[in-house]
Amino acid sequence: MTEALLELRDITVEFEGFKALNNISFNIQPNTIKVLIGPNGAGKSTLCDCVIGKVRPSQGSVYYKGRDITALTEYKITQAGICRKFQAPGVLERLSVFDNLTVAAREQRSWVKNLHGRLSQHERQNIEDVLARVGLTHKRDVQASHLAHGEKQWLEIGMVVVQNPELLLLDEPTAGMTSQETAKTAELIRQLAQDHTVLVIDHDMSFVELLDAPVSILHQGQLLVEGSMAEVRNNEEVINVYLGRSH
Amino acid sequence: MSKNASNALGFVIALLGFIGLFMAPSYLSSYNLSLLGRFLSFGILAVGFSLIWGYTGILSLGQGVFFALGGYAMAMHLVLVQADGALPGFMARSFRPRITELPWWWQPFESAWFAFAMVLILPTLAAALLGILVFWRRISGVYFALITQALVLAFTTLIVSQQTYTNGFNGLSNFTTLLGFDLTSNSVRRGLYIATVAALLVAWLAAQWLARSHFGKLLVAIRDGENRTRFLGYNPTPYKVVVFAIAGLFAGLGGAFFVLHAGIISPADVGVKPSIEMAVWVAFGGRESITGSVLGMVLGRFLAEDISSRFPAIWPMLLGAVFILVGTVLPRGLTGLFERLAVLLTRSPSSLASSDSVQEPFVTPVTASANTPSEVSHD
Repeated sequence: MTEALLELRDITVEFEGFKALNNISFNIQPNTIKVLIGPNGAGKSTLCDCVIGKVRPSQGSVYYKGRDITALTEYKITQAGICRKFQAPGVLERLSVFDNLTVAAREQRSWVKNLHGRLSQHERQNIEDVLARVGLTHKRDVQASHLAHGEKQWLEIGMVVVQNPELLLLDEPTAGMTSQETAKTAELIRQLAQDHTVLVIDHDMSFVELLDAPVSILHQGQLLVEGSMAEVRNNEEVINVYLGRSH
Repeated sequence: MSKNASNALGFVIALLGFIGLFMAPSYLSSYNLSLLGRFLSFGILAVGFSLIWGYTGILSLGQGVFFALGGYAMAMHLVLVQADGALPGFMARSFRPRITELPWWWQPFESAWFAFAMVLILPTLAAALLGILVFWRRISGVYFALITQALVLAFTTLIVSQQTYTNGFNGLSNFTTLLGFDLTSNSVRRGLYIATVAALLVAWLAAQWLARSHFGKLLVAIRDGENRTRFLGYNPTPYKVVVFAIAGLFAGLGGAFFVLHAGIISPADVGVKPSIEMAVWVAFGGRESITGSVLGMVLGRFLAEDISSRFPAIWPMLLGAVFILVGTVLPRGLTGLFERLAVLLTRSPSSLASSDSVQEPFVTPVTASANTPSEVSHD
């Protein structure tokens, strides 16, 4: 077995006594898709928060390429190659679509180097490619706050893609999308997985099925079961807690 | 594309305004020219205020401190020129403590060039230091505003209490000469006025350039989603420190010009109340527009001069009314109003609704998290 790109070891996250994550171990192999599903409050977003440093676990560690990143500052984790799309679209509302992507695409993050200098040919090309990929080329000069919800989702996916991170965390990428848009998103994610590692969090079953990837079910801060969609579907326990037939 | 058009229009209007200002000596009396110079000094401060508040979302209620640092640095030199080698009058008269020799930290201000350097360095350094201390701890919003207000209070209290070294509440005044020029002569005052407009123009151009750079885009990004920029791999702290230091620099420069025009600087010019007034007038002009902020500030100083001397009882109420007006119905100030009018005049009514749909709250932007449909359905 190859070394996992991301590995969570015995992670526990407590919010004032409530265990949002309870002793979770979890890993993702390079260049694969993994899907995390579970009912609301199961701890899916908290798991993402832990990886990117938004929430610090009370126990356990996060390893990325074998390196302990549990205590790194948020921006250093991102610079290491992990990028997240948030659940509520985290676009920069008052910048144009193009500028949103510019901010994400800049290879320079330091203030001195952002004082001068235009976009490099490479950066510009990268932005144009992503614009076309997420279908927002014709809206490049529109202020992000004027986009429809689905378009904001696309823009944010674009902001993640344009950074070309090794690991993408996509938190409910299809929320608020039509079924057509959802299918398009699934297609994009599968393309990305050819040379990226993707962790998708969602609970839209039809979307998850389109991804055709291994699924982990999270319930009350614990991993319930892992397996293919078909296996998970027929698991008694999953049916009980997730579909809520009996409780 | 209308945004670019309105940007271009704003640029043209501002340049015309500058031409008008440069020609003012030909149509204003010497007294009024000096008065305008004083207002424009606050305009230089307003450029920086717009950068930190309008662009980056940092509300400082303590810009008076940086204005004072520049102003006092300038005034200390002028006082020493006037004393002509002797101890300045207020020091000679002081008896608690009685001093016979110029304090060591006053001595270098004998040199005009040292004083000019300090006008630029002191406020920038002070602002950078405060920024590092506070922004590194991720203190922002209302808490930052309160800290700066406390700072300006402490600063003016310190000046007032150190009567022997600062002439306390009376401030520094009674000076007439700079670099051998007689500051009371009309031709020198004209030159001084032109220098003030030139300084404002330089500050304005620098701010415009900064706002259009990637740095400027990052400032807006930090204002609208500081955490979001962190998760895009940026460390927002240095950006905030740098822009706050730039605002400090502009404030100090404004303070120095103010001293030259007004002939005095005292704690009453830079305390808590003037510092809050600065924020009110910047908001009135439209903090998200550099030009608008300058206009609001200059207009505010003009009103302060005019109305407060004629109807002193009405002034505080008017100030309060402006504050409420801007806080409730005009969050983008006069600039926002003009932009709406421009849209109304040039475009069909249907596009009006979307032109100003994002109205930022007055003090701290709050990011609302949208509840997504699919999230609800599985509850």
